[in-house]
Amino acid sequence: MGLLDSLSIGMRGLNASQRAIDVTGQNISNANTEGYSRKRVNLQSDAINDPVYGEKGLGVEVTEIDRIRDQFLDRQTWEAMGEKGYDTQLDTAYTRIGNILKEPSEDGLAAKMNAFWASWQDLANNPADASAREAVKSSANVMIDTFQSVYKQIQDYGLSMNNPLQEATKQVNDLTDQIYNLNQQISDAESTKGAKANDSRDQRDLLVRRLSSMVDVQTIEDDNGRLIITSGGNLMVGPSGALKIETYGVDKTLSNGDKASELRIRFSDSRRAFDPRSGELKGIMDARSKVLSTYMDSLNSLASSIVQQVNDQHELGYTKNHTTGVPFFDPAKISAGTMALSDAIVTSSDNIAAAEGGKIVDVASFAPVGGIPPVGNPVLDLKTTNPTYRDLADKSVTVTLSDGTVLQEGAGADYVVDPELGTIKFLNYARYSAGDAINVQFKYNTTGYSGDGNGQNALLVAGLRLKNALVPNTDGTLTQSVSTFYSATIGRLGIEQNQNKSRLTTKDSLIAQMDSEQATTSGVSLDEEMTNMIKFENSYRASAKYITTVSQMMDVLMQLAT
Amino acid sequence: MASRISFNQISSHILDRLFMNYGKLEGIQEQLATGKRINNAADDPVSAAQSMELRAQIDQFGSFKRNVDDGLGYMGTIDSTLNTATNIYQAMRERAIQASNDSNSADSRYFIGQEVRGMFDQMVALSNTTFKGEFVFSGTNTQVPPYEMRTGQSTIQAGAPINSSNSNYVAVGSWIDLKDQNVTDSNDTPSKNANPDLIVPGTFGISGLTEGTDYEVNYHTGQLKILSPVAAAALGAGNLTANYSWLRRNEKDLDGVSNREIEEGITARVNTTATDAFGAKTGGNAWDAMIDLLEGTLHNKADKVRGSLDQIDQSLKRNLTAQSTNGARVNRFDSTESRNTERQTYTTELQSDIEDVDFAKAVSDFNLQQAVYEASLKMGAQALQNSLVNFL
Repeated sequence: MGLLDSLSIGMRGLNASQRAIDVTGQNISNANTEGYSRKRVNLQSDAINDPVYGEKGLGVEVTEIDRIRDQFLDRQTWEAMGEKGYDTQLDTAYTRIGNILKEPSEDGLAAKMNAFWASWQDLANNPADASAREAVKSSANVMIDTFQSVYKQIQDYGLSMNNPLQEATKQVNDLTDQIYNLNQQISDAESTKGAKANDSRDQRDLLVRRLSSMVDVQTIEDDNGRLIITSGGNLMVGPSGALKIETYGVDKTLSNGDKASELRIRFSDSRRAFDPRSGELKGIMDARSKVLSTYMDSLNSLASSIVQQVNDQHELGYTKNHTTGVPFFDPAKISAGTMALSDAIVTSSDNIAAAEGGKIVDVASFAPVGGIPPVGNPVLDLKTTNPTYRDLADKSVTVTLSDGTVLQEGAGADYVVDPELGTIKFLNYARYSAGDAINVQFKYNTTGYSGDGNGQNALLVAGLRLKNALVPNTDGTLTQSVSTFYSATIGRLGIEQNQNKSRLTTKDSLIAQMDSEQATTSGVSLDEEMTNMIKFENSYRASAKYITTVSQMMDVLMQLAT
Repeated sequence: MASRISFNQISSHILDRLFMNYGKLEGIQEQLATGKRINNAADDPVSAAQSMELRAQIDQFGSFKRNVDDGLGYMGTIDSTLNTATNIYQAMRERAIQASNDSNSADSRYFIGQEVRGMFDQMVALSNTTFKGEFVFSGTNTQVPPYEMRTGQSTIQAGAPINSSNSNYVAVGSWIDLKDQNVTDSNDTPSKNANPDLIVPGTFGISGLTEGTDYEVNYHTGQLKILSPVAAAALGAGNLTANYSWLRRNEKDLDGVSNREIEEGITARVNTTATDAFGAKTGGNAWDAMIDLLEGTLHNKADKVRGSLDQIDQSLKRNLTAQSTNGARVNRFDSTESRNTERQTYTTELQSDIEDVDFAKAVSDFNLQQAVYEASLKMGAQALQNSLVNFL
């Protein structure tokens, strides 16, 4: 063995130190790069067999550059990321609904409902007072507006989720695409034995992490270093390509009758619905289909209960025009988004039934003796048959001829009704003749009009706020009034939001903890790198000194030769 | 060996904690700025729901308070009206005693009668007392006055009522119901509801005829009787016109009950009806008493004057009963009001306890949190500066 071998040992030492310094440089430069894992040079002493010593050192060899990363921790983090993404979306939805409902406050729906009930109390005090009647009408309008506005805001929020859903879909496609490309790069780069595509792997892990916050991610690495990704039981990134997803619209009818499109997600090729198990994508879809719809349903139950209860009571009472059977709200519009005052109330607040009524009795079929009265005296007096047949409910009279023809009520039509007196005056003898058999259907109130100063019915309406009308228990007894139902809804919103938030906080700190643990393994410590730099600088310096020494030794030999 | 701690770990930890501390500071700041501990349901769901219930209750107490105040105003009006009525009855009683004395001449009775007529008019005005534009004694038909003075005439056609002996002349010796005749109401023509039941003495006249000799009037029932055939014949076959004023009790139901909800589910009556205060339509009411007194004094009928005394006493008694019933109702409202106020105060306090921020605590929390935040900023800044690089 000669001095040239010794020189070679020195050179390999220099090489190794330089490679180590390079890696240190790379580590320092990427100290703040997201997803970067620190690299380490693995050194190994090299030797050959020697007949005398058994083995003789040939210096140092760089075997590989290692990526220091805890893969198992990564998988756990990805799972937690999916759950966090899901909870984040739900939290946004809860917060948004909370902001829309704005409870408890002076101007939320509860306050408007309270004002509505209070206005009935005031009307009960001054039933003859036009301003008290207008106050009921206006407080009802304010309540209706609030119902509609709150409902519409939640509905609009649901529709506005189309945008993030589209964004998220695009992002998922981008990510799976990039991951597939990196898979190819890694498998190419690592085809030679021992080669490691460290930086591409760092990049791929970062992309998978991003993907895991969008959808749930299950990963398997194949023999070629390719990461096979499935989500919700569906293949997303396979060995031969990434599967694209796309949004598609489903028609939906809004509360105002407009049509809108609600986006869903499916695979572009198979058109099978894509249903991830967690992640932001799932969070957006669940916020829309579970959270929002629950609170919209609650508002609808509340609105329909108010409309039905108030109408039932209102129809019993007498209006200032001495009519009964007048609905307060439009009975056909019983949801929060559509509720409206009835036409009669819109026309005049005199149609508010403040005065006490008795019971509305439905006379389904009544055939007056003698049929249609003579032309000379065309008035059919229902009272002559039964003295209680008076105080007829508004627009409740239907007259049918024996051939089934239904006559029209109205001044220019077939007959007019005096509801208070219970008389029907026939006008149009061209359509029928005196003595024709008829059938009359009507509703009447068992008590007469008790005067403008009677506010008993208004008081009964005001009392509805406390009447249990919602949420039946097992034996069918209703357990909640409109007032308690709404505060319970708000309470439930708060509790669900808090539960979700605490889950979110737990996931957040879990991820932070795992990230910190990963950083302990793979993060760049500048102090450590500085130490390494000094270490390898010194060894470089020493190797150089060794080469100088060997060189001097060679010089000595050269001088001997001269 | 100690575990590796990288620079990024430290910086993200420091940032996390700064955010956390700042978030807490912000939370306390929001509480202080709004004065509310609960700014949305998630702050404390159970308390938020409770607070909403309490809010609804407080609102309801507000309604009850308005109801009670309104009722008290209503009953206060009734009380002062009945009180004035008591004074009038007493004055009327004095005049009645004075007039019943046989030493009175027809003239002096007539002068007393004039005075009583003034009291009668005042009584009618009292019966038409309104509160916020509603007639308080009209039951629930508060838009119509319970009693009205009407002036007009009845035209009695010859031959009515039918007299078998001579169809062309007004019947002699039988009572003619004035309300069955054509009544023209000077205030309200054509009159639909003219019901001259109670004719006011001193207002009745048929031109050319004298009351007492030619005809007789039943002021209580509104009936006329021609006494002398001569008088009837003198009128010939023409119509007979009687001018008079009458007191009309409204045809509508004046006995309706007006209630106020003064506590949850408890309603109490506030109104006193015309029947309570002045007596039923028939069977001797306050007006009958006054009409007897008027007739007795204006037409110098001592027996009518004496007869009215007892009726005035009864009317006074009725009036006092109405007044004390009303007073009892006022008491009930008063005690309910103080109880409601107490409960409202209590509920408002409870709601404030639940919803409002404890300022002293919030301010001290704020200061503490601020100190923590400042410390974390300072320590963070120093920790981040340190590195081996500084010493190479």
